[in-house]
Amino acid sequence: MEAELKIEGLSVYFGKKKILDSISMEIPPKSITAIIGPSGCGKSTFIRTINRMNDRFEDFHAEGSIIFKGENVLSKDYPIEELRRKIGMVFQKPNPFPKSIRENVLFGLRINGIKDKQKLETILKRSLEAASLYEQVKDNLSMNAYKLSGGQQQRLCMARALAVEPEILLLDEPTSAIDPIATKQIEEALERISKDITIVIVTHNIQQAARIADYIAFFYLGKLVEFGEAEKMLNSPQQKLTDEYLTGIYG
Amino acid sequence: MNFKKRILKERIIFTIISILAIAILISIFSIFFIIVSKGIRVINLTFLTSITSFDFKGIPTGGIGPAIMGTFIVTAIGLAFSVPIGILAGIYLSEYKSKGHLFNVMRMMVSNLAGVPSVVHGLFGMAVFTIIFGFGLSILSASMTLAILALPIIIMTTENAMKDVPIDLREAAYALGAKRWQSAFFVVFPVAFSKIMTGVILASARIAGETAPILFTGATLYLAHYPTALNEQFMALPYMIYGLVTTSMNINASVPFAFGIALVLVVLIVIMNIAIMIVRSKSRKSLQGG
Repeated sequence: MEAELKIEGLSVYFGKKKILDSISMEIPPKSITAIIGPSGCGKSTFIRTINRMNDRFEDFHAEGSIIFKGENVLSKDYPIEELRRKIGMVFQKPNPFPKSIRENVLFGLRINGIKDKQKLETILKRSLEAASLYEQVKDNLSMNAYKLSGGQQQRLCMARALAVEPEILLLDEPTSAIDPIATKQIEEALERISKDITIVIVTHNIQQAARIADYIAFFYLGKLVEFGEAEKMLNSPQQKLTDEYLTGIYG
Repeated sequence: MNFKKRILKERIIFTIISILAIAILISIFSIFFIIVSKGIRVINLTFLTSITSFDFKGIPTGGIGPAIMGTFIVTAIGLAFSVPIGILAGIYLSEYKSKGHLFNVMRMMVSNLAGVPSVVHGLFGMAVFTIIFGFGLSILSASMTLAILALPIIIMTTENAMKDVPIDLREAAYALGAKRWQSAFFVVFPVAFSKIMTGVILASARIAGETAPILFTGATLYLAHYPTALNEQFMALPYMIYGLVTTSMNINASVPFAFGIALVLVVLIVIMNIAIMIVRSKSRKSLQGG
C-alpha cells in the first residue's frame, strides 16, 4: 500500500534549538497512527509541521521533506490554504468559534464560497454524525457553541474539521482536557472515521494508543525511536528506550 | 503588640484612601450638580429646537437648534470618515504587521497622534482641508479635522480589541484553510466587535465636545438658520459656549444660556456612555453563550 505521507529526514528548528532530528517515516493511509512519547519530545511540533501551523513563528525552520501526493508540502510555493483543507487539525484545547453550532461546522465551507443550501445541510448532518454529536445537538443547531460541554465542544471541532472533507486528520492530544466518557466517544468516532481518512493522533496516553492505534511512533528527545504496527510494538518493542517508556520507567 | 500596630496601620491607610475617594466623588458630583442646577432653568422645547437670536440688550433668546444640529452633523461625518479607516488600520496593525520596525514606527505615530493637543489638529485642519484641499471654512473641513482627532482612538482600541482575541481561534480558522483576511474578518473581528464599538463611542463623545479643531476650520458663532450644505459654516455646541462667555455683547446675561448648552452636551455624553455599557454587557453575554 502506498504511504499517505512520506516523511524524509525532517529536522525542525526554533531559532538555533533543534526540536526534531531527522525524522523519517511513512504513514499508511486510512489508518490510525499514534505519536507517543514523553512531554517535550517534539510530538506536537511534528504534527504541526505537517499542516504548517508552525509557519507563523518567525524563528521556525524546517529541513527535509514531507511528501503528500507526490509533492513536498514544506516547499515555499506549496499553497498553504489548500494544504490545510486537505490535512485538517483538531487541537488540544477545544477551540470552537463563538458562533452557532451550524456556523462552526460550516465555516470551512463558507470561506471557500460554497453556498448551495442543500449541500451545506447534508454536510452539516454528516459531519456531526461522524463526530458522534448529531443526536445530542440536532434540535439546537443555532445554539452558541460555547454552551456545549468541553467534550461536546471537542467533538464539534472534529465535525468542523471533517466538514471540509480532509484526506488526513491531525489531532494534537485531543482528549487531554476531557473526561473519560467523552474521551471514549471521541475514540469510537476516530475508529469509524479512520475507515475513510488517515488519522495521526498525538497522545501522552499509552492506553489510548493501545485502544485505537493501528500504528505507533515513539518519539524521544526529538528523535523517532521506533515506528511500527501497534500490537507488535506494544507486545515486543525492538528498542530498549521504547520498552522502558511503555513499562513506565519514565515519561 | 505587633498585631495591634498592623491593625492601626491598616485603619490609617483605609481612612486616607476613603477620604481621597470621597473628595474625588464630591468634585465630580459638584460638576454635575452645578451644570444641571444652572442649566436646567433655560431648557425647554424652544431652547432645543429654535434658532438663536439676541434681543436689543444682547441677551440671547430663542434656542440652540442649529448648534445641536451642527455638532451632530460634524460628529457623524467625522465618524463616517474615521471609523472605517481606523478599524481597518487597527486590524492591519494587529493581524498583519504586529512586529518589526515598520510596526514600531506606525504604532509610535498613532500614539503620538493621540497625544497631540487638539488645537494643533485645528491648525493642521485649517492648513490642509480649508486651504490646500480648498474646502474653505465649512462643515466638511471641520468634519475631516475631527476625523483625524478620532482616528488614533479608534485605531488603538481596534488593535487592542483584536489582540485580546485568543490565538486559538485564529489557529482554528487557519487549520480549516482560511486566509489571513478571512480569519481576521470572519472570526476575530466579530469577537472584538463590542470592544471596538466602545472605542467608536468614546471617540464620538470626544469629538462632539471639542472646540479647538473646529475653531479654524468652519465653526461660526452665529448662524440664523439650520445648516443646509457641507460647504457652509456651522454652529456647534462647545464653540457656542465659548462664544457666549467670551465675546457676546452681554456676557453676564449669556451665562445661563451657556449652562443650558453645557447641560445638553453633558447629557449627550452621558447617553453615549450608557450606550457603551449596554454594548459591553451584551457582548459579555454573547461570549458566555447567551
